[in-house]
Amino acid sequence: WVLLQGLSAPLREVLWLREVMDLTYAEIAEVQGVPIGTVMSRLHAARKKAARLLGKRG
Amino acid sequence: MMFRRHPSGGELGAWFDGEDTAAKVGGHVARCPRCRRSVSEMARVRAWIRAQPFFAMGDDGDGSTAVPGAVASRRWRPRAVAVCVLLVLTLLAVNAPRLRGPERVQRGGGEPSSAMFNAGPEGQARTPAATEPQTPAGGTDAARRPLGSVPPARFVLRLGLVVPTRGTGAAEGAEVARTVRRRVDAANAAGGVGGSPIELVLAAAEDGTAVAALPRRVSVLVGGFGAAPPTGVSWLFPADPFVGGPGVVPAEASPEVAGQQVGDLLRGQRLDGPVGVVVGSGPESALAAGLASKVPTATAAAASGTCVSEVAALRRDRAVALAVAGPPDLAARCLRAAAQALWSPPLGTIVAPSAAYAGLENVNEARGARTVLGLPWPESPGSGPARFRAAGGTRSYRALVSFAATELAIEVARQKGAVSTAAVAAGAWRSDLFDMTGTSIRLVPVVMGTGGWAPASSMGGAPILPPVLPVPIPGLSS
Repeated sequence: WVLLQGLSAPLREVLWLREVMDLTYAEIAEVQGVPIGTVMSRLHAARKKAARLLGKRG
Repeated sequence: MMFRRHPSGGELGAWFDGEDTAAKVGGHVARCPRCRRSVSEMARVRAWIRAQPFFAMGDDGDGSTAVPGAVASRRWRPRAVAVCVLLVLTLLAVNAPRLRGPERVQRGGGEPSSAMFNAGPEGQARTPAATEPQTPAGGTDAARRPLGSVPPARFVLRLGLVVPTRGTGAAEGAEVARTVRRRVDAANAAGGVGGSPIELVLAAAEDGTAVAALPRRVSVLVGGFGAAPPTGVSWLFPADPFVGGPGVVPAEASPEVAGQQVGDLLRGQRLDGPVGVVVGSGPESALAAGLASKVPTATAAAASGTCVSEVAALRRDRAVALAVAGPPDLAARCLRAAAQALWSPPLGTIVAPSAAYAGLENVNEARGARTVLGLPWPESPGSGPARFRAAGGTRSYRALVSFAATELAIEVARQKGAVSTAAVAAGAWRSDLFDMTGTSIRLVPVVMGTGGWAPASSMGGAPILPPVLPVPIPGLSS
């Protein structure tokens, strides 16, 4: 997870809530207090950035 | 209808997560190499994340929290080496005069001779704790350690938290993790413990390997639920009333002790008949024995699905109260049966403490039920629940118990320099969330109201508003 410290806190949290806690988009929206559309865009941004960081790590 | 354009990143992610079940996205992906590459990328990220056995959720964003087992970024190593070289050269230059004489500094590590600690320029013996804040246990000034001596180990508080990440407990597990993490962040913002940041290590309850590995990685477990206690580590306030053992400091009484306490309170009332008890299976059945040790009881073994016949039998016995010595679902059925029979026993209804962990407050017929709990309800007034809510807590009692466990661990670490059941047993711990003498927590009789469980003055009668609780002890408010 130190690998993902390059992500901002909201992006790191949304990844954790989806990939580890297995929450639905509606549940993540409730936890983070944002609309579902924001959850979708945050997840997309988080996954893109995480993929880039994982690619650099090799 | 097929997507004629590429779905957006969010739409593709929703399809990947099973949120968008419309076939149109799936059909497009099947024909679009670019979108299939994006999906593969998402799968690779997911596989990497889920392959991590456990992880630490530190502070928010600045990357300063240490992660157990993490690999330091390579780009910092050359800088760290350069800084260390400069430090060594500086220390050599400063300490050069002291290298002469019989009391030569021991090089290459190892314990220095006691004379070294007395050789400070002021001629005073000091112990190495310069950067630690003053604590109630007595922080002291630093010694100027002789060059080459081994600095003493600093206690780093590592908290372990087990929560379910799948299934029905996952949402509550998320609230537990969120509130504990924010409490740790707040404590770290105030200096951590002994100048070192507190680390939080989470493990998925369904991952037996991760849970079994926790004793090697953490100082203590705090709150959390969903797994049996791993051996070799203490557990403060498991958010599961049936986790027990020698290494556990419970937040609740056992059902038998709860029954005894409720019985003591009932003895203060006028008892014109027995207390009726529906006895179910499982640990909660011990509530019956606890009650019976204090007050006369009439029992009915839980048999039918609806609890109607058991309730009818106790009503015929002229029971003055209805207690359910069984799991929360049995309590819900029996309380519904009593309501449907229009039976309100004069001293009300009684349930086991486990009901607070199982959402019985969502059952209308549970209103007025009483039990004893070690901690206040999340939605209740008072500074403790308010702090919990400010940390992102909502209605989960398990989350409040876990939040309180975190505060207890931090305070014990600050006062005792270590956290264990022995350290807790050797002190008294009082805050606006709990009142403990050693490992015994003071239980508060509570009654189910519209806002959850509220303190009750006794068993039977109308609930009374809670008194103002004592202010937190110094050091606990950060």
